[in-house]
Amino acid sequence: MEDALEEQVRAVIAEHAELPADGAAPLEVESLVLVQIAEDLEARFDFVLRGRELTPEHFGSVAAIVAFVRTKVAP
Amino acid sequence: MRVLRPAAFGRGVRLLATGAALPARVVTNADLVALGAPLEPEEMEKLTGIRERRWVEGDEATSDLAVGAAREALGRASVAAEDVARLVLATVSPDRLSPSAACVAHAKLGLGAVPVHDLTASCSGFVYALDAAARAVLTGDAPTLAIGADVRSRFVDPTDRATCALFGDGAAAALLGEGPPDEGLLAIGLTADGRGAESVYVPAGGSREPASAETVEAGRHTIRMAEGPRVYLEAVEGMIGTAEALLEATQTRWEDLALVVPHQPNRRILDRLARLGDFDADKLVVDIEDKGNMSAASVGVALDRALRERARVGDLVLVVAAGAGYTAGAALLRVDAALLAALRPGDAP
Repeated sequence: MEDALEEQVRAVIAEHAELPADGAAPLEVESLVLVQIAEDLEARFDFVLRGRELTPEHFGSVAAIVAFVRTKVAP
Repeated sequence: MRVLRPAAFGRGVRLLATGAALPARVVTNADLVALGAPLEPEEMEKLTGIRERRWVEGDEATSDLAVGAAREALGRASVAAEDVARLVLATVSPDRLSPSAACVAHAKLGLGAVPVHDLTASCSGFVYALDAAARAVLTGDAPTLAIGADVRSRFVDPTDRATCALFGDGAAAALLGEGPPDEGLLAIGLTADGRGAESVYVPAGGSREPASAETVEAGRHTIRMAEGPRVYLEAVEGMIGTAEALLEATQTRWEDLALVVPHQPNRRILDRLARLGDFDADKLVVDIEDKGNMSAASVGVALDRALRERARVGDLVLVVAAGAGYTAGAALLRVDAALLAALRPGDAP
């Protein structure tokens, strides 16, 4: 079941790419589109992404992105 | 970061003049599609902010553009080529692997029996060349020409989505001479991080992977950027970090700056720089829409234009670049009246 953060992350990604049915499936997007997704997430969740954080571990799937954004907005 | 402050030697280094040169051939995004680019023209412009760029044609090469920029700077400064004491040419695309493009430029310019050499610092090349030239002036070689020149179009794979739209060709030159300690080049800082050596690179054609039919067949003589998004973010981090280090070293505040002249890799990178940097966005010099990323030349071409069109006497100007390698550099300039008189001869004093 999606929580609010996951729903918002998925909405940001969906503005730029087709969401795979399986959240753990590889997210296949153009590199420059990935930058757009990353910058929109920064704006939406008010954090600054570092280059070393833009890895497949954090951005390889919708589930990974959700988990990563969760670390950025954690109190 | 290593910082050079000419005033620490009780002397000064100033820019006598700048110059720039671009090839005549205009290559639009639609032209790139005709060459096999897998993006629509509008998509290219949206993703990069680049509408067109200049590419060499025929047998034009880097030294030709370097000579054009150098001649413009020499003419504006009213300095004869035979009076130049040294030439430093930053490029990652020399006419040939050997000898240096600087040697080819030496003959074309008609320089005397003086040292000339290339240096390689990718998109930070112009700032690295400024540093080398400033050190030369401080040790008696005045005036010295610093040039950033690149012809990356010869190394672009037009079918590569990550890089096809980015690169243009061009050259920028600055003629440096002695001056008062409180004018001209106040400080310059350089750094590098070789962990980024394969961030943006040309795999083949060097001593590790010599050119062969196989390397050409595989396109390994063209520019590779496997992790474009990471490079994108790290370019901004590199420029902001380097700029802040130089400002701290010189006890300068962002608000003291009249203009910020960055390397011009991609419009979106410049937008991010403006968003994350601690300065008013209208101070940022953007000069990419009709030129693209000209590697070592970009920041110099942007500086030349900003000095001619926007700078005022007394302005503090920050030049900052980051590039493959990784390399990065920043320079702090105070604009003097003689420089603007050289660059704008029609202006009233």
